[in-house]
Amino acid sequence: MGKKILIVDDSKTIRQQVSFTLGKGGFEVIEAEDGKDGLAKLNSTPDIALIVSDVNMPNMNGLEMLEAIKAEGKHVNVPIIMLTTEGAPEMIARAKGAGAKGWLVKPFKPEQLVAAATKLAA
Amino acid sequence: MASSEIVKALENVLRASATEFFSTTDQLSAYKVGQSMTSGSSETLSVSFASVIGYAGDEIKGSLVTVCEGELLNKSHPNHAMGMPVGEAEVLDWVGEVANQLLGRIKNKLASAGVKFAMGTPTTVTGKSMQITSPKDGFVIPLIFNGPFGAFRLYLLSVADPKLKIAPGAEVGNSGMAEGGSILF
Repeated sequence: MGKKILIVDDSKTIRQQVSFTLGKGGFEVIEAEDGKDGLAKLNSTPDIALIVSDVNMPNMNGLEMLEAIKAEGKHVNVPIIMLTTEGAPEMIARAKGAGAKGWLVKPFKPEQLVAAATKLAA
Repeated sequence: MASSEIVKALENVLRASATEFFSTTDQLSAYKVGQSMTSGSSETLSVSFASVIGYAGDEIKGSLVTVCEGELLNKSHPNHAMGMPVGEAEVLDWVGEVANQLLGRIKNKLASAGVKFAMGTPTTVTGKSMQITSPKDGFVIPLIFNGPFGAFRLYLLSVADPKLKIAPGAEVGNSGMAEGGSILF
């Protein structure tokens, strides 16, 4: 089994695209449909090596999830990449300040996602 | 009510955002020219799939409504490239993601012209008819894109501050990171 990656996105279409792409890249993928679900999966699944998260989601958005992970502290060493339609510098800066390790703007290029995951999940 | 300059600038941004989206989406490259539709304060459509996504900023707020035929959404669904099935649930999810990606492009272009807002998350619906109503004290910009898989309709419903200024060239602008871009910190 490859390293475990948690994908958090409210769109099933995007989750399937990311899962397919990372699965071909040799990773095992766990899916969550919003930030709250992402936190739950992070706490219930051992050895998650990387989180790939959308920003705009219902219940808890990706930046709120990122800040919750930082505040909670237990999984602060798990790298997080934001994958979103947003490209605003202030949002990217907020994510970086909260500990995100990367930012990808949809529609993503599969090779970019696999390269980023390979580097950060190492 | 907003000035005709604001409406024209927003229409240009809407058309450019959709055209860019089509150019990067499988099966939709033929959908190039967005025609203005005649629209009164209310319009009833025969509809297959639709999504609504809200936005709000200090100077402008409203929603983007996307209305598509099922065949268009099915043909353009990313699952085909992965050899995965596409059913009604996948099509309904996809029309929401299409709206999300379109509004993201609109947001980036307007931000380059000094207009900022926050995006909501899409709500998707399917049915036989849909009524588009212009918001109170606002306006609706309707565009239709025709292609081989039926019409792709967009409605940008907005309430704008009459003093809103949209810098020229917003339709070709892009604030921050462009679609497909990536950065590692």
